[in-house]
Amino acid sequence: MLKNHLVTRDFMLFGMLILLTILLFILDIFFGSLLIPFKTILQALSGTGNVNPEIKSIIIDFRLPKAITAVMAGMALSISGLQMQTIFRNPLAGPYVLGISAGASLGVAILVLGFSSVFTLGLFTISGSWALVIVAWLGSALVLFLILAVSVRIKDILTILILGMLFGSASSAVVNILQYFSNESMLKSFVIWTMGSLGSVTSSQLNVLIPSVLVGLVLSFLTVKSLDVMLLGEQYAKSMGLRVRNARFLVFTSTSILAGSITAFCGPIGFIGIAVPHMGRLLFKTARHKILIPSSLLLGSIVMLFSDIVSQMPGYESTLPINSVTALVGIPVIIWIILKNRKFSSV
Amino acid sequence: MKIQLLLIFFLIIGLHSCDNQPNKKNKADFNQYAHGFHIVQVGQITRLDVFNPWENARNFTYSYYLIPKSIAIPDSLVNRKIIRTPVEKVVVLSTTHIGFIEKLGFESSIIGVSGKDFVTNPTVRKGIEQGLVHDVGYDQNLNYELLLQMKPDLVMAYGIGSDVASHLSKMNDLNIPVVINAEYLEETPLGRAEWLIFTGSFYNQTEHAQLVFNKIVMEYDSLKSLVAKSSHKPIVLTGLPYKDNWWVPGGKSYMANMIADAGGDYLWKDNPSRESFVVSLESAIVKATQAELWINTGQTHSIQEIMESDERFKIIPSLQMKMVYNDNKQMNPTGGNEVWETGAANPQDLLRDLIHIFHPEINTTSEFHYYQKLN
Repeated sequence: MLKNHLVTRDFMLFGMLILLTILLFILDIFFGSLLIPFKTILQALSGTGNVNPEIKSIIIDFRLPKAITAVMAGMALSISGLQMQTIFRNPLAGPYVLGISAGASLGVAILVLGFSSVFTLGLFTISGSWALVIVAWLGSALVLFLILAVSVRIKDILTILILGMLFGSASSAVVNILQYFSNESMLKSFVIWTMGSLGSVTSSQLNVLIPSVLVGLVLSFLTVKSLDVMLLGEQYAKSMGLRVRNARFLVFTSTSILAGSITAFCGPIGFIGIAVPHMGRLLFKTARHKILIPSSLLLGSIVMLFSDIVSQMPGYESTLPINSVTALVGIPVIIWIILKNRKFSSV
Repeated sequence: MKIQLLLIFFLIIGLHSCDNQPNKKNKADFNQYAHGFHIVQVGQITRLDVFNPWENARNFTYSYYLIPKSIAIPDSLVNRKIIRTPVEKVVVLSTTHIGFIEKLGFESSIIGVSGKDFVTNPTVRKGIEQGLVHDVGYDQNLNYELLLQMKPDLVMAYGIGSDVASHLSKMNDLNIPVVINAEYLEETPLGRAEWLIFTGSFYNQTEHAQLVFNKIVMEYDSLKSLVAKSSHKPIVLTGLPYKDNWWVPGGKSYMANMIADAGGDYLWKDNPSRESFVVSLESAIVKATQAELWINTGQTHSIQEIMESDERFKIIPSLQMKMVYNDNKQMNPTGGNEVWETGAANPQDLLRDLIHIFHPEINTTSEFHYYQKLN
């Protein structure tokens, strides 16, 4: 009886979250610096009616990719955060705990700060807007390979956590050195990158981002069972017959693809990856990944879309950096959840 | 002797009155166009005041005493900021300063630069190659030991923010004669160029500098009057975004004034700011669709490169019509752009280029100096 009740509640919650995601997706396309009537937006999206080509381009080429990017970022960061919290059994773990964003920052810093003359010599323009994406990806891949190489040799998961943080700190140290030797305009470019951005992802970049995120998500679905077992501790998981190192390898690969891709295209976006899994746990009152993964997908999209709407500051000429908004929007939500539940749900 | 003491007394009194009420109206009276400096000549000694020398500085004045090398420093001025003139060994911390010095014909006095790759002046570049001109670093990385070794008569600095004050006071502590040059804060092209007189004063060539400047004013004004009668003012878009941030010059900025003088209609001319500000990519694109011309597209050399930086720019009509002009015609092999070096000291050349872009029918020139049409 009780179980049936819970299942019905889960279904209702999922239904509501799906509706909310769709609603926010539409609102995100609706809001921008320019006020466009709702009817025009529908006409542009469906390709019917006589829509001014510039307005159509604003909707199809600018707002739609941005909304899709927000959903991708929300899903990817939340899932990798969830995976890291489970595998390290630490509620404060997030997508960047392995040093992935530090690796990406290092790649970008080397491009933006290290080789300023490369820009003017034309190397930058050969790859155009892809240059940043490629170096950020290379940076996070480098960290991933280091972590994987270590993780197949070392048993203790805490050692890997510490090594991940050390790799991250080492990358940050190099980034700091590069920043120290940079002039103002180079620094500004780099700082803007670290603030995150959803709007600079174009349709052709989405053609790469979407498949990457999907691959990462499929990998994460494969880890559902092993993550559930790992919650009980690695020793116990081993006694249950789980091949811990294989499972770890899969989880690390999935997280690196998810967090690495988003960081490459949007810059390091903080907070979402740590907070959203907790929102899922508190809402669904469960630790089962069969529930937590889909709920993190939806909640991540919702928080990200909402943050993007806020960052647009509808009606204003300028926007706020998305990274600040995710923190400012999300932190009160988390505080409210903590205070309401009296305790932070443990992992 | 007594008279000289009396003069110095008045000089210092004058300084204090300036410290207390450096209001804008008074400053504007000193020069024709520039607001940022003021020269007072008393006997053989010149007092040079620089006002609010960085962005958002308020009620701030630096005073320098320019004392000829031929006379002794009066006791009453010993603790002031003193420059001995004429200067013979100069370190410049901005390439723009090179442009001003070159315009007056003293570029052989330059013994140090900041960022040697960005220098385009042939004399200075040759000096760098021969090891006679040194790179002293920049901002927090200034090589103070090298500066001390070089024993310059003058270090010309500039500051974006108030943090430059700490570099200046460090140089003062080390007895390095440093002055701050704030020409980049002037709102008008002629205001910036008037800093030629500021520059000339260190070489004891204020009058020569005044003549050079007067010639620039005449040329600038006659070019400006050519477009005054034009009924059509093309709408002008500037800049290139970084990610989804589009930084554009404020409506009262140097660039906005230059566009207006050249008979163009700047897209953000109603903005009240003299500093650059950021607009979102979407609102910039919406405005860009009205523009007939697109200028100053960053470091791009072709329309292809602009398209590669963001393929969505294809909806901008001026790009479709290939009406895109960038001010990077004169680049040196190491990435320096001549417009940053000589543009401020030669506003008439910049204006002539812009008029040629905005009003080709007027036929001011057959060839661009700084600009090029992108293909």
